[in-house]
Amino acid sequence: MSDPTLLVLASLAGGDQHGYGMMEDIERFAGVRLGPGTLYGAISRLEERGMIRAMASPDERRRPYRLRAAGRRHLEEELAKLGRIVTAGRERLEAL
Amino acid sequence: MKWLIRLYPRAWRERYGAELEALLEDSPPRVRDVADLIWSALLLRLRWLPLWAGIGLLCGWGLTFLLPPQRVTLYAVIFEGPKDSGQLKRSINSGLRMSWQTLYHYVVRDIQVHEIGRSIAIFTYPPVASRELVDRLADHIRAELPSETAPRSGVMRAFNAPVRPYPLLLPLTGMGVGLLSGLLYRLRASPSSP
Repeated sequence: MSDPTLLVLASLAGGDQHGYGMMEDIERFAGVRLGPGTLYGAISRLEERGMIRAMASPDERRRPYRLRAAGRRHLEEELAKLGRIVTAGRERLEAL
Repeated sequence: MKWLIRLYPRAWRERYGAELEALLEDSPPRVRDVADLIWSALLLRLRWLPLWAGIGLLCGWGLTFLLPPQRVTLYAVIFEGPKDSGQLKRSINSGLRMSWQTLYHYVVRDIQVHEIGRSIAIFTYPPVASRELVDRLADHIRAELPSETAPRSGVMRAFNAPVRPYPLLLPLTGMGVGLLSGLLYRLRASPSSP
């Protein structure tokens, strides 16, 4: 799972986060460090598609983002697909 | 590294620029982040280009239908009655590889070999193909095939056929114009300096 948009959605599934928080969280759970341009490219695409939204914050430069229903559905679908791939891959490896 | 944010489109920068700047302040700077920022800015600037290119391609393709058809003289050598059309086809193919073909190597693209029932027709059309080429190919076929399988007659006919004008050139030009228009539009719509 290295698609930056999926990593961002998976990170926000754990709660609201701002950019730096997401970067740290993703590095922790996926072992992938997204570059700042890649991270904000993914954030802008997801916000454009209505999958996440920026929350109000006293610090306008560090606004947290929240997962929206469309983002949650998309993440569930993509994880289900990945789950099928993982299951099939494991079964085939065991059969070797 | 913050100056790299100026590479992003203005509208995007107005929305996310301050946040990206804060992220660069918070995270320890890495050399590869420079490449990441440049690459992401480029992708954002160019992401509409495939759409522009596609529109240009479609317009160019549509133009080939709207413009009046070109009339080209189409030469055809039609061999009728060969017993073994496969053998005739093989002979045509070996003819196309003859040494004189190097003189006409640019012509071969414009030769089409069709099988119509028990007849085989070789179509060529100017400006690059010539009657001489067709005649030489016909001679080769007659000389190569055994007399019992050789076609009894090879008929040269010329047709004045309508073809769509510039079927490749127009769509490709349209695509190029689309790409250029997209680039110019994006550059005008979002200059890199504030």
